[in-house]
Amino acid sequence: MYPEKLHILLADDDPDDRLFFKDAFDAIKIDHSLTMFEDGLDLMAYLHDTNELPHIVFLDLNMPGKSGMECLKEIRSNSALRDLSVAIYSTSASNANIEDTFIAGANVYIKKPKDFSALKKIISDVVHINWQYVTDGLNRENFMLSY
Amino acid sequence: MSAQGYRINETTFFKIAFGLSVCLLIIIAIVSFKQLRDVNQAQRTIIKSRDRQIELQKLSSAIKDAERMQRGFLITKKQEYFSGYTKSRKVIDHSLLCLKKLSNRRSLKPQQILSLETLVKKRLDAMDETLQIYNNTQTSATELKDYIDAGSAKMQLVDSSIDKIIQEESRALRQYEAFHKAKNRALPYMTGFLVVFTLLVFIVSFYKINKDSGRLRDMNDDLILVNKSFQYAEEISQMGHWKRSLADMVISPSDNMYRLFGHEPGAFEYNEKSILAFVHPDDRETLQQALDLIKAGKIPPEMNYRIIRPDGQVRYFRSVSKLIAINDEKLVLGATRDITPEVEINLSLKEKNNELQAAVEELASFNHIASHDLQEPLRKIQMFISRIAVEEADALSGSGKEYFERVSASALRMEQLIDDLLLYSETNKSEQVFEQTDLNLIMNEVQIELAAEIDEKQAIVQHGHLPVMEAVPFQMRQLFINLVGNALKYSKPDVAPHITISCEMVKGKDISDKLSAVRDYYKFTVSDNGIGFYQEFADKIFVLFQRLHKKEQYSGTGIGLAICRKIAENHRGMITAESTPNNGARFFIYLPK
Amino acid sequence: MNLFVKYNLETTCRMILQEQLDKFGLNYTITGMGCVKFHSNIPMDKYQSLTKELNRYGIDIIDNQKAILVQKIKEAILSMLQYSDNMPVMKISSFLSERLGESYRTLSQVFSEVCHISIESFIIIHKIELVKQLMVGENLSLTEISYRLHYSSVAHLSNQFKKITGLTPTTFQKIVKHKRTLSPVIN
Repeated sequence: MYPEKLHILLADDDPDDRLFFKDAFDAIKIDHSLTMFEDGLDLMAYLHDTNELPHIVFLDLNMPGKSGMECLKEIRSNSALRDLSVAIYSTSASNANIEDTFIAGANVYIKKPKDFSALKKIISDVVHINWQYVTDGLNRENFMLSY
Repeated sequence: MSAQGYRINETTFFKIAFGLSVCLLIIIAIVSFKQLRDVNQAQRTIIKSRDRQIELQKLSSAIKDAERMQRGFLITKKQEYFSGYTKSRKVIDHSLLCLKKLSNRRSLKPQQILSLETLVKKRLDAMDETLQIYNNTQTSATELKDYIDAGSAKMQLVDSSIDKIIQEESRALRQYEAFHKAKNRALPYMTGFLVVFTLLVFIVSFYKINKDSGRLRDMNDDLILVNKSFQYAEEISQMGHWKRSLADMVISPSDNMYRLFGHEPGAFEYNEKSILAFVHPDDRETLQQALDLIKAGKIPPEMNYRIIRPDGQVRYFRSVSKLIAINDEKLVLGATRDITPEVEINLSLKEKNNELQAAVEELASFNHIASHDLQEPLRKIQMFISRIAVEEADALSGSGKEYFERVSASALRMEQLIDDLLLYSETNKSEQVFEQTDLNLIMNEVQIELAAEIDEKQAIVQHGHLPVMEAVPFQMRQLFINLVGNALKYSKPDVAPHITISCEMVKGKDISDKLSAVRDYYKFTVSDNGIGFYQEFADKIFVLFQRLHKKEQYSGTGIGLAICRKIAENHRGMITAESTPNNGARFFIYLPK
Repeated sequence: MNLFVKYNLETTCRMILQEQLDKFGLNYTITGMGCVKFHSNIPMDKYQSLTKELNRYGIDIIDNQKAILVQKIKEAILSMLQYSDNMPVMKISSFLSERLGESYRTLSQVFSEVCHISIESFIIIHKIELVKQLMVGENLSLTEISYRLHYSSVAHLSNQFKKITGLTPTTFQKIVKHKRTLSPVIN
């Protein structure tokens, strides 16, 4: 069912958030490899270079250099990267922001929680539901989750 | 009496008075003239009559003289008597001649004179005969006496004829006198009456003219006063006016127009060219277009332009004009106002407004950013706390765990405060988009938003039919979320919350003087069956950060209701509350229709 | 110019499967979704190549008993959801255990083990997915959808929708509409 290894990417400029994310991911029982970037430029460079596309990309919105939104738009306009599952992982939760990111093509919007268990659950949910879309052939266009 | 009517009446009156006076004067003149003529005539008649009488007397005495001379001659035969006789005969002839001249139809008719003449002739002839006879010596004394007696008889005839004529003359004169007297008896009275009447007319006219002239003088004075006031008014209000005849295009400005341009009245020739010279170069074209419109007989809209005074000052002018017709003459009447002070005030107001706006935006953005920036580290604190509490639970002592719990609680409180502050700042935003908002839909969203708590407490939330009104949607949503959320929060512990929202229309003046007396308002009532509160706190609860309960009992930041009040105020309405402990609470929100 | 397409995955996958199997000249019958019956054994090398080819299309060969069971469960659930009109309203547990001949406890255990989510979650996720499809693809109103999918009320549907996706149905609709107007960025 699940691939041998889940390949996850995260771009977030905040070291604490990266730590939380990593620890939360480690709690998931699925085998995975997590690659983290400090800014959007590095992330995009990696994506353009790699052969092995990730299963999900987590993007923080407020990053220096290239913002999460810019990365998202670039991903969605790139034919090779277009079908990636993209999750926005951000501090802000204004409705306008959320809607805009979905309209720009994000699949998941996660407002950074303040509770670690919540984070763990969210990540677990995201991964599993994402997998439903991948395996059970659900319409990617309708894949939108908001936490 | 209107000026026009007054004028007409006046003219007619004066015409009548004048006509009347002239007529009367003419009448008087005619009458006087006639009277004079009559007097002259009478005088002449009398003189003539007197002359006749004198002449007759002369004739009579001349004849008597002739007789005397004849007798004398007869007696004395002295030559001097005979020359006297001859002389008298000449006088007689002369008198007869004069009498003939003096004859007139009335008294001394020519026939009478002729017959008299004949008689006189006969006498004289008789005298002559007598003399002849006397000279003839053969004549006897008796023959002489016969002749003398015949002569005497003839003389008597003459005398009686003359007397008769004289008498007739007198009689005719007297008749004439009497007739004249009768005729002239009325005349003085009539004249007197006419004179009096004329005098009256003159007096009345004089009185009326005086009065009218007095009135005219007053009107004139008023006019002068009005004119002066008008001129002063123009000066004070920095206005000028001008008129332009469409026939010859000449512009006639008021005195103050010159002053507006920074000159003394009449300092320059006021025409299109000289005016445009004052106008700011950028505005010349538009003004020229406006002036062309005027010349074409069309009225341009309000003209706003700048002029530069000789001293370099820039002034803002506003001109308006109107086409009028006076006595078939087409005129353009215009007024120009120096609006520089207003423009400057306007500009400075706009500037201040912009500054204010910028300040408000800066504050709002500061608020926003500060809140966001505060949220970051707070979240991390909470994250780490949650991890420590879970992962390091074994390493912590009992009190250690407790401390972390309290830290966690404080962090949560801080989070709520920041969230609410953010909300509060958001309702303060200057740019609020009012649109037609269906409150029924808003209520649905509210119920979805609070779905979890509604479910958990098994609450029943009902609303009657709510209106569609002009409002800011997200604020309305926030308002009802806060109120319904509060109702849910402050429910009785083991009683399922029952919350109803209803709406009715009320008049502003019936509610409070904080509302507009002339407008209608929607009165929304959010009522619940929760724990309620003391009515004396009804105002306090809307104050920022004011809470009625300890935070251990009920969570809350004290901002929620302050936000509600702010939202109500943003919509020009108000919110009040009513409650008694244990009897739930009712919140009334008044929003203008 | 943009084209909006709807996939009928079942047909698509079957066609691909057929094409691939035909390419390898295999003798087979496709019985239901996700099950191919071979009339004779396949040589290992062909099997490897076949696996590789099918993998290209994202089609995996399941050779795991549990996985097979899970697949069957999914199949059952999906077909039930598809043809919900004809379905008698029955409890899911009885329906599945009846259809697959196993106790519901076993089924849910295996399912959770393999998929890491419960059957209930799976059902809800796919039900919501169906809601999305009906909303976006067929433009049905929420009332119609809630009726068709046996929700007790529109509110119930909205609540579940929000719970699962984090968005209200209306917000979701709005987003999809906006996405469609921004042409090249289609997910």
